[in-house]
Amino acid sequence: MAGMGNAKHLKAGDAEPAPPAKDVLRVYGMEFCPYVERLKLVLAAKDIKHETVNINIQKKPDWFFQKNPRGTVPVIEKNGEILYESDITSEYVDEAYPGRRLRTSDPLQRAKEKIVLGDFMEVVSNYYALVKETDEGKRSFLTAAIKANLGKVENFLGNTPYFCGQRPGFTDYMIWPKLERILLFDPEFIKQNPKIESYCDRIGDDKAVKACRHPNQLLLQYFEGFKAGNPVYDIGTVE
Amino acid sequence: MAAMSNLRHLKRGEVGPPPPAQDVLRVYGMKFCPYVQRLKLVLTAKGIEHETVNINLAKKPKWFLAKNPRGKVPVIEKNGEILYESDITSEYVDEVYPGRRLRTSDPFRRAKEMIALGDFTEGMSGIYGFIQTSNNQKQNTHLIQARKGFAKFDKIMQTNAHRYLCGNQPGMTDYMIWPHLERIGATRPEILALYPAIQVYFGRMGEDDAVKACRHSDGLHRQFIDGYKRRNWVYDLGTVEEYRFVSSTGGKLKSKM
Repeated sequence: MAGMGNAKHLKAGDAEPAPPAKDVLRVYGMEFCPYVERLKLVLAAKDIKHETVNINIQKKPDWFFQKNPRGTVPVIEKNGEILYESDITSEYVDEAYPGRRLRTSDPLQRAKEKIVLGDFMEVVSNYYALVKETDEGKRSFLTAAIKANLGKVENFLGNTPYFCGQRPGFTDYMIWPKLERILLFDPEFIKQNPKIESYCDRIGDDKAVKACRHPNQLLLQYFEGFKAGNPVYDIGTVE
Repeated sequence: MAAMSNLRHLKRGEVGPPPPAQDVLRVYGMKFCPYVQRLKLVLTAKGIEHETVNINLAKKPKWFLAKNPRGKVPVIEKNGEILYESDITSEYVDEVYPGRRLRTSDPFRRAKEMIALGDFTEGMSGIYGFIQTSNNQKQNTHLIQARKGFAKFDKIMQTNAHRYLCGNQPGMTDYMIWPHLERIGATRPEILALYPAIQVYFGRMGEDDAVKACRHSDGLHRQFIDGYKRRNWVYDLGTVEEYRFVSSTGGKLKSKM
């Protein structure tokens, strides 16, 4: 959890923090955001020191839009340069910082990983639609689509321990945050896929995953607020 | 225009082509698809030989869906391996084939290009939305989105020190953007005229050899898009060529009608 940052979530009306000191990497995040977690996992896996400023994404400060006109997290800032989007920032830090390269080097294998990531993101978008859907017919359709795409993910895993092969890599960290949430909120979907189920156990031992993981109770508490349209960000330990 | 392939678009019920011969790269495409064009631009810019099979996307053959369950083009196939998605396939061929590397090597510059591409895409989604609806209110919403995205992209191009987004030669991100710009130029040039930096970029890209090889005339674009808007998809417009598949035994097969 410390890996996600415990800082209070700044909202509209709160003063803009001073820029980060020279050569310091700052991440603008939100404690429970799975997209921020992607970047945080990469930072943790590579031991990249950084500071965090959390943003209340329901009541964003105006100054935040100056940094990212899209108003989304994560955002990174260093020496006046700014980047955003979880995949762009994660790929950037993986390449710009030393340590184990998380991105798969073989181009064919990397392309296949991106395809399965796309299949998994279909699961995610259908899942979050399902959470809000009341019409039984549409629920049925979404559920079938989720199962079909999880089946593709299951097939991809095959006999390799991680999406990236023998060790967790870039694609594992892009997938894990949302997979963790589906596992927690709707374990039945995962239980139907034994390889995905055992993957979830296995990756739970990863150093970066442990560093960024919230206790289930906290994540559930956040998700209830999120579903009700009233997310509360400053829960758990807040500095 | 020939680089987009004039081959007839195969539809459901038609026999599928034999697999490509050993080491031959095959692209499954559609003559007017901007996403296929992204890949075609990369292949052309790098001089990568390949064959094409065009797919009737309104009546997709089952054998095509077996290759890509998402049912979209482009798809590439070589020695039994299959990949799809325009960005994934483009990045792949850029890396595994020799010739000029189109992907920007500096990680920070490449990240900035990705952000610019996102802004441009926001603009394009607005345009495509605008084109596809006849509801005035929705058209307005789409136009607002289009303007937002293009304003950001125009700003980026204004401060861009180079001739192209990727540097002084067109690169991967330029080729990801171009197909959409070509279509705006063909159908709504007055929108381009609102953004001077984009207009200049549009002219420069038009001089690139790969762009020229893959480009359709404005008239042909309008013809296709008119049908598209009326949900009357006609793919075999302009010159139409027939397949001549080479079997694995070396004899030439004519395609099954």
